[in-house]
Amino acid sequence: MNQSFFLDRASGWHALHPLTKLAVALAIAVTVFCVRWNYISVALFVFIILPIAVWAKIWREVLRTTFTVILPLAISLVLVQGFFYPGATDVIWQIGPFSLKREGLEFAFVTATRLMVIAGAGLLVVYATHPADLARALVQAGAPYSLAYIIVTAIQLLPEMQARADGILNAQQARGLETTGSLRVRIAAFVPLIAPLVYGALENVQERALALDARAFRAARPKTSWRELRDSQAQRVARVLLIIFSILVVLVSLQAALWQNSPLVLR
Amino acid sequence: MDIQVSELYFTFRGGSEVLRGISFEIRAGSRIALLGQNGAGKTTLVKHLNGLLKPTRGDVRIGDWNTREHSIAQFARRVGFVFQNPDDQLFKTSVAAEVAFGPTNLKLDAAEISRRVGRALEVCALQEVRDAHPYDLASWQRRWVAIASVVAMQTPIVILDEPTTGQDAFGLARLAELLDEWKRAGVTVIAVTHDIDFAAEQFPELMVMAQGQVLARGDAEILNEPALTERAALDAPQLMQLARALGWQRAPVTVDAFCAELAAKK
Amino acid sequence: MSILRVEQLSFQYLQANRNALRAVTCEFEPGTVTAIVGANGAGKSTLCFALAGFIPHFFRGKLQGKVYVNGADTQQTPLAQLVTQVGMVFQNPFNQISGAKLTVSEEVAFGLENLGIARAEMETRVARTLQLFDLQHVAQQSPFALSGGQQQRLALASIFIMEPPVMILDEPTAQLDPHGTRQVMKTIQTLAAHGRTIVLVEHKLEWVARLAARVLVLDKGALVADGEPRAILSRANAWGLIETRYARAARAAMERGLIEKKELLPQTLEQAKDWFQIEG
Repeated sequence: MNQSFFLDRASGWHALHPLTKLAVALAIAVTVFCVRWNYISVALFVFIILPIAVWAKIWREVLRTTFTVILPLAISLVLVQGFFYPGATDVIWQIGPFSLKREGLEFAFVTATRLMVIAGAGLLVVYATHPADLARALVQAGAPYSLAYIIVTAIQLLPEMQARADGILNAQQARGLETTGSLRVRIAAFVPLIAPLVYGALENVQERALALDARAFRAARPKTSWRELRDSQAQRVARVLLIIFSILVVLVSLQAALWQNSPLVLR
Repeated sequence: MDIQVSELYFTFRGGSEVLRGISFEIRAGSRIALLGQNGAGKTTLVKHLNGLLKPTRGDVRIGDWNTREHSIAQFARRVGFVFQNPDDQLFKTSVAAEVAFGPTNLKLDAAEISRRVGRALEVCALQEVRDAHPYDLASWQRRWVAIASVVAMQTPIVILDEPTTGQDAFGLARLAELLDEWKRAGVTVIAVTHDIDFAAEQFPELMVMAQGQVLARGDAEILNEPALTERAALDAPQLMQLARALGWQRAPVTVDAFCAELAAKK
Repeated sequence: MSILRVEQLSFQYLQANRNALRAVTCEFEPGTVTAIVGANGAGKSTLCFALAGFIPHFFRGKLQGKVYVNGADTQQTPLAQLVTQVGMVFQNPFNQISGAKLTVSEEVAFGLENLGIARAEMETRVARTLQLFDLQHVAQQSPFALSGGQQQRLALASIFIMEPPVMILDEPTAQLDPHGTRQVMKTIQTLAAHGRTIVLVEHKLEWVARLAARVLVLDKGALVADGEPRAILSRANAWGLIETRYARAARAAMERGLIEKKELLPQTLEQAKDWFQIEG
């Protein structure tokens, strides 16, 4: 049973400090949202994300997950935006009363590829970072320990949630609850399926909180770490540069939005 | 209503083979305890008996229905299932409403539902808490709510997954009474349990599983076979162990049988 | 001198309409194994929570009386400090896995991280603890991949490593199969052999008789019996406890006049063998 996204492979990317990896992901995310060029997402994916994924030996997983997440989204975007994009006029294809329009397709393309880049950048971090290291790095960066803990465990406890959801479905169906069929049936099934999940989660939260307290989770003294985080001067500099870069990108795009003709903006 | 399992194989998606060629028949009104270590496939097997899982190969028939051909909700008329974790099902704001959920799904009329709920609450000693919120009850009481919610469905077949967990002597006595009541009503009861003493005392038939197969089936006498209990990683019932330690030929498993044997020795 | 002292302890949970504990007074000697037994709702878990400081630091309600651990008043001592004095292990092994760690080694070290123990010391303690709890061969596995019995041993190890002299175990085998139960009981024996003071809540009386030197009985929140296991457990049916079949058969044999009446009933296979053999 794999309870984590982390893929433990020996690579230079893995060895980087979690904050460095986060800074790279942040810079990618900011760029993809701020640069108004339709192909920026594809460029970032091909020339930045993929090479890093290859370097980290996780390109197969990154590609697979990115596309399984993005593909259904992309298809629905193309259908909805392609046919119903407000104000679009450039008809490419007519089918009955519906017409596929270029502006809608363009919008769908830009949105889908942006999401693809965000997913890819996020996966670069979570696939190549031990969750405990991520938590520790977040704490170092000033996040409260309990928040970092919640972020990290949320990912790991997903399979538990899934198992409980399956158990609940079984239990209610066994008592004659219909869960498939008309919309009315599905809506009626909502409460019997969701309520036990919420109640149960609350019960578990209490037990988990007790068990954490039993292990001095809320001790006020400074904590130590079983795993060691490696950092370097070069990485610290790189992080500062990446953050300055991200801020600059945001500022420039803001400026472009305010003064339409800025020479700095790619079109 | 008979249960017919033939050449049942089951593999979890992308996983290992959990059930490996199981065939048996359970006649209406039988009472069987299913024994075996964790991972032997007991829960996986019983989940086939109401269609929660469908065979990878082979067939499971409940009466004239093949589990492949009917929905789980349809099977709720034939098979009641008390799960290990009551918290997986409780969602109503009162115990009585929770117990009424199953009968309501069976589309019974209001009078019948209220009669059944009243009866189930009585059998499970829950009348005093009938208006309480299930989540305000202790976990052992919530188990009884789950049991009552199946009792109220009055199915010809009942499956119990680890019914003795967390019960004290009062709970075990009540469980024994409930089993008696089901016996009188001719209900088929199949219980998955680790409590071998309870199983040996309360169930005329035992079925021992290991590694996805049924190793043996019969009365408690089958446990008097060290090769079997070892292979299934089971302890023999306490009185059977005692009889062996005393060098007796026969190995009784109930207090009555033990005393009878003791009297015969004197 | 006792390591754990309870004085006139009463507790009522917030929103409850009756006391979960009623004027309980008892003491525990260092290095002993004491079992707490009682029917459902007798207050066993509540007493555990009070011994470990979760009452009043986690559960709120009306508290009277005192609990002293190693002389320290639990009401005046912060929980994070108490856990180095008294550790608690719960029923559900799964809910005790922190979820923040990927391997058994890291999981065991979690408490030490929180206590700020230096890395070098952590390593020695983790290695020693894994060995002691027979977890060294799964050290690099995910805690989630372990069997129930292994997970519960991991929970025990995770508390043990913080070196509390007292360990409170609240039905640690309730959710395990017989194999897992045996594993955990063996581990508890090891803990006792290492001089830990153990308070064990347990339904299975044969194990109580085998492990404990003393038994406390709770009934509706009150401490109603306290003494040597065999003497106490011979009256088990008076308090809604599930008697061993040995004791039940012995009582039936006496009632039917097959064996002359005796005060002590057998609780383990060995005791039962003696009990029936002398007569038989």
